[in-house]
Amino acid sequence: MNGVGRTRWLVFTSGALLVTACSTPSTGPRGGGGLAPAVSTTAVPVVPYERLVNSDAEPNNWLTYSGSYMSHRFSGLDQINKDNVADLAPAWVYQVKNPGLVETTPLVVDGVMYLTEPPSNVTALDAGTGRTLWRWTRPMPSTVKNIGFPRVNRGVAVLDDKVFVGTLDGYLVALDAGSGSVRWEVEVADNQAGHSITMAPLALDGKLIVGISGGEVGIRGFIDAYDTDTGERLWRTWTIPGPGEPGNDTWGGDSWRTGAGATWLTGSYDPELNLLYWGIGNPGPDWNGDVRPGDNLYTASVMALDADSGALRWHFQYTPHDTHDWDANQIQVLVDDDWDGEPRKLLVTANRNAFYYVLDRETGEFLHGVEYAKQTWSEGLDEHGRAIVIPGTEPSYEGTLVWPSLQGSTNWFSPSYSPVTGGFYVAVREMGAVYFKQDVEYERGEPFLGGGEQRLDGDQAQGWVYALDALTGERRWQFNLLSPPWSGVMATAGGLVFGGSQEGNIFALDADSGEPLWSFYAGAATRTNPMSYQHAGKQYVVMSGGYGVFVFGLKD
Amino acid sequence: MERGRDLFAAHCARCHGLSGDGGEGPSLLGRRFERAAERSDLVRLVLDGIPGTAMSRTWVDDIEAVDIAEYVWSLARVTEGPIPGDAGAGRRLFEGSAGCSDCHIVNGKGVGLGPEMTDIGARRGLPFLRESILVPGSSIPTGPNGPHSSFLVVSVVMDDGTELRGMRVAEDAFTLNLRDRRGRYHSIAKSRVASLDRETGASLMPEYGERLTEEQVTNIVAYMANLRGGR
Repeated sequence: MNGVGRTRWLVFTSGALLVTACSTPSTGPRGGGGLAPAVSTTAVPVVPYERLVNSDAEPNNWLTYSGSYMSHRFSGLDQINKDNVADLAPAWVYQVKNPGLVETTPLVVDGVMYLTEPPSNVTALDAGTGRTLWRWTRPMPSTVKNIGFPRVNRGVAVLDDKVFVGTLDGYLVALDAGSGSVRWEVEVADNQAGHSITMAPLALDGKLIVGISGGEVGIRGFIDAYDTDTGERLWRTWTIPGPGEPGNDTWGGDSWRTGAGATWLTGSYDPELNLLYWGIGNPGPDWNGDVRPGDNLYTASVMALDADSGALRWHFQYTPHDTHDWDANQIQVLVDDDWDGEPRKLLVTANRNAFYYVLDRETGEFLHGVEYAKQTWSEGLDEHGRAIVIPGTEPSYEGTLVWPSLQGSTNWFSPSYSPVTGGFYVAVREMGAVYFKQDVEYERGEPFLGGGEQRLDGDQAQGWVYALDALTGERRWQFNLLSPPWSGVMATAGGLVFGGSQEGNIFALDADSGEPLWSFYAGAATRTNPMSYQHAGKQYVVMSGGYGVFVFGLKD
Repeated sequence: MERGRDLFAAHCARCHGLSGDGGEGPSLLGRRFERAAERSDLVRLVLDGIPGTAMSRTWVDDIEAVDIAEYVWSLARVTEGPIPGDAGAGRRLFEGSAGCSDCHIVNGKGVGLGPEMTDIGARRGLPFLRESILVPGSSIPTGPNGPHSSFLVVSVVMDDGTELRGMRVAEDAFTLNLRDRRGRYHSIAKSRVASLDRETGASLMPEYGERLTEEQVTNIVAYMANLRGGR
């Protein structure tokens, strides 16, 4: 009997009675006054690859970090909609057990919620009540390095009967979905050299794809694939080409060795083309480009890889020879729509460098690009999509004022695409910074920065949610936040866009007009992406604020 | 020391004054540094900044930070010139006819509407203190690394015509909290606001240049400069 068959008969039960060997959810009689059912029974979820490919068919669940391989972060649920969202209220709140930044996007599968807690712990909750089913804790001594980012984790992947997490100390761990016990673990790369994992892995057919953090430590970046049953590494594709490989000549001298190109956020996948789309981070050192003359491929680019072999099919570089830390790790969104009257497979992204790009995702051809936020470094894009750089905008010893700041016009937090409205929704940081350059030498496992920034913050900066036309990048509406945000957005079939603010608001906007329709004060900054699921006939929206994971539903 | 002085002028003088005599940041002359018992502590402060304050990290390398720290350490041995003015007379004005205590608390006494002044002399330099009396709106911190100013004056007209004006104490995308001249707090739903004016450069405090003589201003500055916290 394989592992899948065994776990089918493990059953989580919450309520007054213990029920065994029941593989379908059952709902007990409802008491008056909105009492919970006497017994609610949930089998251990099993997620074959086919469910991930067809995730649109089951909007009750949220099966991957971005909600689907196309990374729309769109919920097909519409029980919560424009007409009733004003009645949204907390159903329950989960508090993480270690203080820290909560950047997780929970997954929900068949009544079980899997989320990560800082620094690299995994918790399974009953999706109906928030009660803990199991918890896996990874010790994380202070000697573990996280240079250039906080001790966070953004979520898990699920496949078959396992839950997968990347850890701050550079490991990939497979857990049993029913108990949280370790099935296998493998070291992805040496943490003491600055490698680390904070992203949610991406599960494909028997393969787990994972990237690496360390762009501020002069690592050589890569994207890896692992066998989900054994943890064996299937392939590794370097993001910085070595000697003799195409692109190595875009690095002066030996600078490619410490070229960074981290891959610290979850990529997207087109099962038909069998292509992975992965955003690549900044070159190293970040702010001193003098020591790495050239375009520095494939930093600040998107790489399209064959999922079976890891072979590079095409690439597009958004910011050649980046000197502002504008990595291109932002979520790559797959859009199927007409282009010049013909159906076309598109890849769109709102880049940290303030431009919005539309590419052909079969070939990598640049189709369109437009400025979507304030920027002062470029006169615009040429016909190939390459930015025409304004001289004198690179960091200097005295400081150079440039928009956007090094956090970019947007950052890791997710955008959302609604197939209903054709809108691309993105949380935007309108902020400038004075960029400094410093001399720097590489030392293994130490910061490799070559400068930094002084932000123009406070009342000199603002946050926004922008609704762009996904094909043209033109702004349809905007919603003002006080401070530049660190939270993503989610559009829904209910005509809503959910988001969060640094001031602690969790809110819903009208997806067509941007009008605020609902808000809740969480009491601390939100630093994550919204998601949604349905359980026992009721839709929930999830968003974290402070140490709390808030789960909202309509009042009964 | 020469290099340290130049680096100080480039990176530190905007807040601490060209000669280290303070401004929006504290004077560094003749002080026992609260946060630096040794020179090496100063190096760390330069490189890391001081969390929770307007002092951000300085973008210099380790060697430059040592040069700056050397120079700042030398400033501690500079005897601060005598503070001009009569601090005793300044105190009587502050607590009496000038009306400063009607809005500011010193050592537990006064009204807590404007910023507390108990240790203002340790946090601000003489020129800044003088300017903040003459043109109070110019002294509201605006960054670059400060928080959203909690003394920003905001005027609001509600959709029913109600007018409110006060200091911002909190703001987010949906709600604005003001404190008015009488000390009352107002929680305002932004969805009901017809117009909202952030009066950058304004202050609820009167400009004292027209109310006090030059000598009186000097005396109040002398009093404030001697307020170093504790008692």
